[in-house]
Amino acid sequence: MSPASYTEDDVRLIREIKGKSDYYAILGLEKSCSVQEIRKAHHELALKVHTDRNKAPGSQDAFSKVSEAYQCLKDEDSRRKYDQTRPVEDFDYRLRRRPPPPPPPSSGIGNPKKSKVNDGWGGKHHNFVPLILLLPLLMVILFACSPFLSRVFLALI
Amino acid sequence: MAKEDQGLAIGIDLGTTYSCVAVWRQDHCRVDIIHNDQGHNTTPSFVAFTDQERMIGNAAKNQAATNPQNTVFDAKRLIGRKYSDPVVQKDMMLWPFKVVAGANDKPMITLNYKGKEKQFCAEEISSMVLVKMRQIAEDYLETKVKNAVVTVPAYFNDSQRKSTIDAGTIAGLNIIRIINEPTAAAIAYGLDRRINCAGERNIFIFDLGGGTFDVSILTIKGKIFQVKATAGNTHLGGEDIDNRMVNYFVEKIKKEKKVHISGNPRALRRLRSACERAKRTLSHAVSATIEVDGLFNGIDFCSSITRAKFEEINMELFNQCMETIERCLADAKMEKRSMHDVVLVGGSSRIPKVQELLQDFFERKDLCKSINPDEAVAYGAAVQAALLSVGIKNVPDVVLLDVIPLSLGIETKGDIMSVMIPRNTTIPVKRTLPYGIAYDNQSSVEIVVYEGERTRASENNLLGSFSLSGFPKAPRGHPFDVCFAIDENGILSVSAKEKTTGISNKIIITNDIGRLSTEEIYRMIQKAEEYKAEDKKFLRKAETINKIDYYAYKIKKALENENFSLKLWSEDRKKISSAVTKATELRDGDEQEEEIDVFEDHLEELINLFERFFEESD
Repeated sequence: MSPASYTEDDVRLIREIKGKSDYYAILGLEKSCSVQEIRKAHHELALKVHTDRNKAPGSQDAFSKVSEAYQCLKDEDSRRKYDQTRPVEDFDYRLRRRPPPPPPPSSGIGNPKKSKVNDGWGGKHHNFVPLILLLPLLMVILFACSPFLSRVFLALI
Repeated sequence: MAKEDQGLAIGIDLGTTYSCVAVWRQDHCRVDIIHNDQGHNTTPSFVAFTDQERMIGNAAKNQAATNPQNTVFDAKRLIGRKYSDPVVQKDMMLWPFKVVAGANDKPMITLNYKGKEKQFCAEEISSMVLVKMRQIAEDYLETKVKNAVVTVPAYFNDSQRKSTIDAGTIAGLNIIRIINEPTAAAIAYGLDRRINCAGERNIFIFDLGGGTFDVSILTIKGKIFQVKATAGNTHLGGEDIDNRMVNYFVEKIKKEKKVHISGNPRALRRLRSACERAKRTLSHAVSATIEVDGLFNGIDFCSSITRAKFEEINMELFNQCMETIERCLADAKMEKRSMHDVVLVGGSSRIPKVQELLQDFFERKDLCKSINPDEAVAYGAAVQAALLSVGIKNVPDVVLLDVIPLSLGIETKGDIMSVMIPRNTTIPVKRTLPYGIAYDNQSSVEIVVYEGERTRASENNLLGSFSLSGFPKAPRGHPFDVCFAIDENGILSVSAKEKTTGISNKIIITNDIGRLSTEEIYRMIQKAEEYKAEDKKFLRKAETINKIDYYAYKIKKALENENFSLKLWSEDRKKISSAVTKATELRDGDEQEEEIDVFEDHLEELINLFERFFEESD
């Protein structure tokens, strides 16, 4: 394989993956699939979209998505969580994620001089009473889920 | 990059104490570990400077005891670190060479070269080692080599990786990929054992080298080598074991002979070399003797150390290794029982106690010693180099899915580290997350990027910062996107974008954190070229002087023959003997400082004379 060139198939595959947001769809699987099928699908896709083997533009994003989907679905707990919160098809991509974990207890508080960026919860501080009520539940979710997915919560607020 | 990929590519294991280079031979379908001019497969990562010349590798290490202040080693322990780093401060106390703080808190090695004080950064020293390794490969392959895959410890952070790439650039190499040492070793192991590898295999790599310690858990299935988790310590290895031995003997000498040798670099260097030898002996014998004649003030030092004592003084280090192993298994969410193979890599993995502890930990499992612990990393790098090159045939088809060793994130309000990409995430990866501004009417935000596992951002390693400004004043919570992208080398670039105005900004981590700027690198390349030219000149001069000596000797011998001598006109005889005298003067005299032309001119004259008068008579 020549690292410098890419085929039509490469481009098509990348475009396909980039157009999907559902983890099962990314891996080309049904929701009822087995762990073995998830592993197999990831294995095959990784060989096709890894940036060393697929030089088409955007392969980094596509590979990233495939890894993210696999990371979530291979683990029983995080898969269950994902299934429960999996949004309906025509939802906005950015909102099709699981609910966010709670903010760190000290977020939004602190020395203003040092603070540079709000962690995303700061903008909704007037809403923090329901948040605190949800805290125990969210904590459970946070610890049960694969860590990187939990970051996407910021999109929700 | 595509065009530069063409041509032969080598794999270099740039080690703390020793380096190794290998290449994929397509005609033989195998990797060749390339031996150096001394016939060794590994070359000391040493660079030395004297009044006359620069030396790299074995030559530098061999003269370390006589020239300790100007012999640099352990550059890998400095690379990508700041002068104020406590690790650097502690190391400095043990190094015989001087390290000072340069601009931006960058450590600079200060030494004497040709009678002048010079400063070098760690990247430059590493680049010299890389040049040497490339030279070794070029001599062996009899062709120019431009491309290389260089390995780094898996636990190297972003700055250390980038500095390693910079070292390659200064050396004039095109570094096509940085790969992790344990992953490279896994390739060596996996290819070796692939025939027996049915289905999925979990491999545990234990890599204890000269200066760094890494563990990685990989799953090999078909063509894919997937790293599950990695952990390590960038400052734990054979050197630390040597340090402990040296300290032990320094104390012993203090007690027995009532002398302090700790202030004497020459004595310490010699003691250290003896300790290193004893350490190696203790891997197969139960006791070793240490003998250093004339160590200090005419005292001959002779002592011995048993394996038990050796283990006792280093137990703390060994225990640290075991803790790291547990952390790695926990990160991978795997049971130790599920490991199919435990592979030993790195010279220090030969220590019997380390093997014993490891075997106990893995419930008496047999350790895999089938690969050469000193060469496996370069082997894997060579395979990866071939894979990334155009037109190389018969390369085993494998894909590496490696991970980042440390979590990456940005600082949010209240010094909180908001992790964007957690550790052990497969790379390459790209992730965009929305954040909100912290205060009303903020028209700019500063994005501060950190790396590490602490919740308080400021306790992590600061990688860089940049600001996003110029968007209209907005209320608190106004969103903007931050995007982290990590490439195949494990190198991070960060960008941010405010969506309503489309204002964006991007960094590949700014220079103020100690990374070399393009201009600096350019200047260093120039400097490296100059040094290379000087080395060449030195070599040419040395060769010329040797030849002058040779011809002067031949002529003198011929003149001693009376029959022949009588045949010469007295004028010629005078001319010849004056040329010989001048040759002797040039060879022995203080005229070594003279320009090379003087020597070469005289050599020519000698050759002419020799050919005119003596050749027929031979």
